[in-house]
Amino acid sequence: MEVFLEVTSNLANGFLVSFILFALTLILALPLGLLISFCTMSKIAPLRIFFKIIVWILRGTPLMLQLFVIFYGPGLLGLFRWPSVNTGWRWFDSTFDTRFIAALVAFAINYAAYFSEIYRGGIQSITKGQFEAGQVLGMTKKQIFFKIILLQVIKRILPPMSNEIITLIKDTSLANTLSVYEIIYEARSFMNIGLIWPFFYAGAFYLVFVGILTIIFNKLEKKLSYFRT
Amino acid sequence: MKKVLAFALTLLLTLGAVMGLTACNNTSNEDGLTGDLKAVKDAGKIIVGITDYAPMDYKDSNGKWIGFDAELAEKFAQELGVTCEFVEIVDWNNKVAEINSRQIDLIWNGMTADEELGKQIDFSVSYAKNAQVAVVLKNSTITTKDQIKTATVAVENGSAGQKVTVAEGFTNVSAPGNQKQALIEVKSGNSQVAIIDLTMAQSLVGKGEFDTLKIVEGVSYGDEIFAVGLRKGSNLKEKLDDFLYAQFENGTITALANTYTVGINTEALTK
Repeated sequence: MEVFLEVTSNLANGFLVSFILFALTLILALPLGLLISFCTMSKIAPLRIFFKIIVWILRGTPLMLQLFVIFYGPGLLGLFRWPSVNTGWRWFDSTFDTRFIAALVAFAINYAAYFSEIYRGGIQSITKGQFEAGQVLGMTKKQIFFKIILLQVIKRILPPMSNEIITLIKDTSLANTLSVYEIIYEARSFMNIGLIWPFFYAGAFYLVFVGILTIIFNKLEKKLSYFRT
Repeated sequence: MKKVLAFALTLLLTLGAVMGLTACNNTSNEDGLTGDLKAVKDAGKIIVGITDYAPMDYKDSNGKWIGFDAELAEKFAQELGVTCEFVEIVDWNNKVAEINSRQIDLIWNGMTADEELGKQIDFSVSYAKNAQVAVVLKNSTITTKDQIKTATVAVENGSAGQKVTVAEGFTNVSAPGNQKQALIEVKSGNSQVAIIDLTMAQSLVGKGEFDTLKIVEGVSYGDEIFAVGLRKGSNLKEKLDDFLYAQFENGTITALANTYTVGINTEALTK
């Protein structure tokens, strides 16, 4: 029983770190992805090509490799060290250390690349007629995007987005290769004392969380189904 | 709008690059300190890279890092007047990247000091001795080096044990992230033999969770020495060597060696 409580509290702490990494990645990657999608659809050829290449690299190489390059690269090349926070609050400082920050940057950039393609697909799926109708009505480009296009895009990209977001919570486990003390790291440290079941327990954390996400996305889809596109 | 966005993004990227490049490099100061010594004092902590490797570094029931190396590292930090922070290196193969990218300051984990590693990092004075031994299930029929050569073998990725498998030309080798996992591979029947440090084998095998395992008698590979790893040219080396000599002279190292069953390198520590 004592062991069970210890495993529970360690895994819960680990999952909290996983969740924070997940949430911060989304906060950064969702807008960054939209920016990148605009760039990959830009009329300015150099900008478009540059970002297409960036997206190609980010989607075309393993996330694990990107994590290593982003974490060790700057230090090995003598450029800079990832900053660490120093608030004096032990939990906060040890959670948001250099490793966490490097992992966050890697995840945010990688997921922004995937999101940008989803955004692009959504935006380009809106018929040209709607842009033209807006122009005929004398609306500016900004008005057309925010008043006509955006909500339809959100509705259309919701299913692929939910897919990526569910993948993200599981991908956060890759951060343990940089010694970010997330849930898989915690489960693994129990394996070192011969316990295998904490792995299943850790799996249950993911399952419950993904279950909650699925319910939220279903609700959102229902909410957006009042208009047809 | 696209142009504005493009401009904003370019600005952001440039800003990021500039911020990245104006990074810290510790050279000048007032109190006469330079290099790593200054960096450590400024940070107020020394970061020590370790793995879960009894009896050198392992966690007690409260999750605190203890062991022969952990206690010495704490003492060294105390002497420098900084706190000691342990970071568990999940894959031992990353240790050089960790230290050269300044993510950690020392590798203090019963590390085997060999020539190849010495090209990439510096070593302190050696403080302990070691060899590689083979660990098998108690009911195993493996008793000789020849049998081990053809068996399925587990070694820690990037460890001295792995070098043994390369030098001896083993064929069926798997390389998990740390030595305990190598033992677990044998315990769970996934591998027949684990090649690990004598120091660790003595403290773990045949009792507790590894009571079904034994060390193959009369088989050992290479004599090795343990040392602390430092960045090339680090000025912490001098401090650390003096510290180790002093701790040997005042009996601390011998006492710790008795507590944790470690074979100390008496010749190297005697000035």
